Amino acid sequence: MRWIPGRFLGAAAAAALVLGTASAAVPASAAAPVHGGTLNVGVFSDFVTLDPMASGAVIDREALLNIYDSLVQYTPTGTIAPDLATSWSVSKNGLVYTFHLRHGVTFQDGTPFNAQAVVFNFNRDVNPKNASPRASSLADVTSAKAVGPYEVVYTLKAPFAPFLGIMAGRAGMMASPAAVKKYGAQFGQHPVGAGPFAFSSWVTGESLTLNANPHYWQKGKPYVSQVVFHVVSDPTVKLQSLETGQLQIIDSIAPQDISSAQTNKSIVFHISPETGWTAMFFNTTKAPFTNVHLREAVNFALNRAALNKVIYFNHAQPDYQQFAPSSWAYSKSVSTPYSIADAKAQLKMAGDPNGFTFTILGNNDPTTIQELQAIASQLAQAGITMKIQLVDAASDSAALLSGDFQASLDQWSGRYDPDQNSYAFDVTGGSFNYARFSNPNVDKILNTARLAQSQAERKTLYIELSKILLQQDPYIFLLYAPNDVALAHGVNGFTYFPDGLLRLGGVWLSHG
Amino acid sequence: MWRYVVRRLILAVPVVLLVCVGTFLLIHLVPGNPATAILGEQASPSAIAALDAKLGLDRSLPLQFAVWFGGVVHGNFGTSLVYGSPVLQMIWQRFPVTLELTLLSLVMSLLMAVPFGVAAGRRPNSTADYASRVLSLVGVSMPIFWMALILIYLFAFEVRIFPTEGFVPLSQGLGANLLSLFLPSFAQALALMAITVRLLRSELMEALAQEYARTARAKGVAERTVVWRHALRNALLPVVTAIGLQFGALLGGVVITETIFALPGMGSLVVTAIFDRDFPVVQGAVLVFAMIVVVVNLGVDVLYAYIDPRIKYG
Repeated sequence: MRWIPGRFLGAAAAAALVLGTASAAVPASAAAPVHGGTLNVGVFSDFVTLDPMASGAVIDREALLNIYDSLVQYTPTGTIAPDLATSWSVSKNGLVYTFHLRHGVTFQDGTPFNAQAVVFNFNRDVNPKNASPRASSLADVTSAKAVGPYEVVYTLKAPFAPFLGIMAGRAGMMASPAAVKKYGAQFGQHPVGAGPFAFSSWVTGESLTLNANPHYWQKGKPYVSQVVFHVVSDPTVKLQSLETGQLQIIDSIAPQDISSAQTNKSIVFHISPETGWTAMFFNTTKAPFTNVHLREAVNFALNRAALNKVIYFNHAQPDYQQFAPSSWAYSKSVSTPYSIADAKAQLKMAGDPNGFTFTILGNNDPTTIQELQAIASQLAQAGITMKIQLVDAASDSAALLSGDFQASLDQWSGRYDPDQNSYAFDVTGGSFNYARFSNPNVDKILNTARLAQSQAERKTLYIELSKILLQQDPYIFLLYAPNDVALAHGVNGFTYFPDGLLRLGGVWLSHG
Repeated sequence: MWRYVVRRLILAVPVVLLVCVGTFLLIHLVPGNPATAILGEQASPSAIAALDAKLGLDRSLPLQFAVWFGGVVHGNFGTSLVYGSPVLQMIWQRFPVTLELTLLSLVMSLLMAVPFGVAAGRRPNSTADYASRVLSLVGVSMPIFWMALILIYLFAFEVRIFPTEGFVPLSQGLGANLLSLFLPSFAQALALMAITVRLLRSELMEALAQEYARTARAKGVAERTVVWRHALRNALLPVVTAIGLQFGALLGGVVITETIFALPGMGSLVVTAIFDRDFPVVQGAVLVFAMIVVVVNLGVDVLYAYIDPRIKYG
């Protein structure tokens, strides 16, 4: 996983679950799980809020997944499985989802989990007063109603294929209504859910401590008595802390340390391509990138293989589309050759045979700086001058929003459902369409894919989308950066998910 | 003396006020707003607008400043826009870490600087002098972050004496607490010491060449007493001034040191708050820093009177 301190699009630290060709569970130890012990986990950044309604930062999900259970969940291979809902049904027209809830579940504060609680959480997410980032993903849901003590019905405006995927994320995480009322605006600092670990204390900037939830519905779990997340922003110090035994799990490793981590016998190391994407965003409404040929010229002049070697020591993979290799929407046939001759031909077509100059914004962190410098020298071979302007995440985001930029290097952490990796970025006027890209064919494909009921039908549409995007180049996808997790020996029962996020309910320590 | 102190404190008010206005303007000049930090990659234009309204960021700048400053006058530093906790509470939670780190760095630097400076000043071009010059050259030219990483590698990873990162509060035992702060303090002390050693060396050389030192020697006073009682006292005056000035720089240094060693102090609080554009936290923390610098400089001036009885305030 690459280390990026910014929290905006930037934290490639995580990504959502994807069909997991790369997923690998630690071989289950033959011994029976042992209860007890404290698990010290190193994370790259502090959390922002522990309230799933208010959370937008990628890092938050690391803690939220352990405090809250959601209606449904993803498996490591990317299929949807029951969680707080034991089963669900979808009406034939795709507009009504009925969830049957698990009986006998209580929140960490001892209050019962039931249909009322689900409705409460939904209403909280969509209440405009709460300004929740969940509101946009739930915009197509008209209502959630309790039709029995353990039965909830969600009604949609139009068929919406990604709906279940959204319910496996923060919109499906269930907070205790009693605790929300008790703590009010401070709930993000006193979270209460129905997950394996209950909140104990949080020293912002330093550590978050969670205790085993004694009421947890999965009998016997969790195994460790306590989890302490330590914020260690320096990746080298974090790896050293793992090797000295101060930490037992770390959430990322610097690219230059990956090779040694793979051969280091004192740790267990997992790696997979990120499930999101890293891309150069072009402002398609501002010169010079109003001209599609100039965008294409940059794409041809980009040597992804060399970039992989220099920046990621060959631990990344070239990327030409919005979907990760582990996604069902991914297509091998979507790619561009590296060709300076083609780049020059495009420049000629654009009327700039001698090249042009543009400025790109990038986060001021070591990996991004190296990446941009390498790209600049590659583009120079085609006569394109790329000036680098380093900014912090908030300034970058301000520029993306105002449109006062030519190009910017950014990331999206990725989600399981392809809709969530494409729609908001590509559709005309989409909420993350910072490229200000507009293409009627793309809009049509995206909207048709939302209504489509079968995965096969959606797949055809998404491959078509990837092909158009590769010709139009509002974004130039660079590499699938590695997601990784490293564990000390003696940490058992850990299941690696391709998103690199840590789910700790099943983890146990050899010595308790 | 007390009248002097009170007068200086009153004069400090406009200084602190200027710092407040300056900080407020600077942080608002930088593009970006806290909504983007809170929303992370979910920061769509509509979500940001909704959150801005909720946080009161859609109000005019003078009004925002007036609301904040009105609160400060009443002892209310406001609420963190990102975390929702009272700013004063966040500062008090972190202040002891930074205070302990700063004081330890200062003590460590003096423990190294005074013996080295005195040895070098007494016998210029001796082995001790060369050693002190090399050490201060290393201290002054190595950036703190680099020194910190080397120290971690050597004394926490290769030889596992100290923890690699993290802070153990005093409540969990003095030993563990000091162990957790040793490397960060040492990294800062090396940089701080460098300047003090060089200053002390030249001041002491000068003082020892003065007539009063020669007179003392002629009267048969032991060399030891000449150095430590007569010359050092005079040599210390500019050194104390320099330490006072460096205190501000030291507070700036904790920003880096705390981030590398993952210490929950004021420095890392300010860094995160600046990246998040958490205005009330930045303003509150800078205000506290400004007050500390003002008080320390006042303390230095008062200390003069003790070191040099000729100086009197009234």
